[in-house]
Amino acid sequence: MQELVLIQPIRAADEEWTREAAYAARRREFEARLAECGPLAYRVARGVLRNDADAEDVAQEALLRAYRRFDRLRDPLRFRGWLVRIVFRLALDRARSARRRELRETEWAQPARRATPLNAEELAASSEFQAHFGRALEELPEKLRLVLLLAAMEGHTLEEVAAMLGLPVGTVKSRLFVGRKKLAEKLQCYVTNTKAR
Amino acid sequence: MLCDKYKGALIDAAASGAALPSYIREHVDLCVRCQGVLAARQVVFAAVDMGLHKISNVELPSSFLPDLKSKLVAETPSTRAGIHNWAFVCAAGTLVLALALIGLPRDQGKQIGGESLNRTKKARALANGLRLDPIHVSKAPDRIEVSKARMPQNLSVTNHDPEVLVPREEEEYLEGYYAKLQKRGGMNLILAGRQEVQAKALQIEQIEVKELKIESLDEQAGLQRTNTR
Repeated sequence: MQELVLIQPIRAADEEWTREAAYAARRREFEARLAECGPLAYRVARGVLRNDADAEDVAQEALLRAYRRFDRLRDPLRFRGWLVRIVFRLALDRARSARRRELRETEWAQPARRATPLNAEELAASSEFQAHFGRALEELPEKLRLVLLLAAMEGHTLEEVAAMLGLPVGTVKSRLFVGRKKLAEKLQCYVTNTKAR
Repeated sequence: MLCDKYKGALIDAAASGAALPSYIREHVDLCVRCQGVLAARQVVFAAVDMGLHKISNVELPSSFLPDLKSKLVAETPSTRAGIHNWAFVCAAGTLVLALALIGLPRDQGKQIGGESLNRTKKARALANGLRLDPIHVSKAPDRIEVSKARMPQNLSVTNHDPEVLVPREEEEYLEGYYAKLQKRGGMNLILAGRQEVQAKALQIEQIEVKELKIESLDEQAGLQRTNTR
């Protein structure tokens, strides 16, 4: 009995040490992925929310969630796609609640009317177009939106986007095409209306 | 109206950035309106691509990664494991308590009921062996008897015969005695189930008096006094 009393704390300490070591290893492994996946998470969140502070908040929350469930991920190669889905979901939730709050508290500010820009650069740079572009993007179906955001990121080929989302390349291509077309249709109305003023 | 059939093809060409098919190219070269449509669409698609690029390639704030790493460090495994353990212990404890609360009264009832049933059976068997009054043996647990007894409308149905309670120390002696009696023969053990005794009016046969002698009470009293003196 005495022997047990003497041995047990050492064993418990051993177990504690092993557990701590396992957690430390896991944290190191996760932190190694952060340099690559941190910007990805932030950009996806920013693409949905169009607000720096909210995007930072959501991306960090998503990464923390991913860290907590990191040991449940069976295939480490799917980490990027898994993280993207977590970020996208969280960002959509945040966007919805923010939209509700905005509708409750304030009315939409009407963008200032300016002269219609002539070329694509001027059009894209105008704040009025950006506001319309953001709303048009929000109105797109989620599956199209995510593909558009990921494909527009630098260094992402269609094959990579397809692998990340677990979709065939053809599906990604068609979603990209349909998404851009829908966005253009929505913005075409804006361009036509502003030209008519 | 003639140009409308080219509209879809023009939009697709603007969206994909691919070269127009020759028959549309020929028409666009001649039609000023279609040229305008194509140019406008190309501007919009270019603006869309720029907007998407701008949104999707924002610079990461410099504080993002340090903040995140400090949060990861704050996620101490021991705290999380402790919380998990506590949650598990609490859940298990609640479950056990709930099961105990559900299961305990039934078990107790069964045990008490079963014990009393055995005792009453033994007592009945012994009483039959000793030719005592018939004893009502209840197969139902005691609580049912109690509930019936509390209901006044069931009084006529319930059995009013007293149950024979045999102390434990005397049980063995009575069993031994009963066995001896059975060896001698002539004892019939009637094992009957639950007997419902119906209340019946007491019927007494007619009393017949053959010889009736009437004596004076005063004379008897006088005789008794003389005897005592």
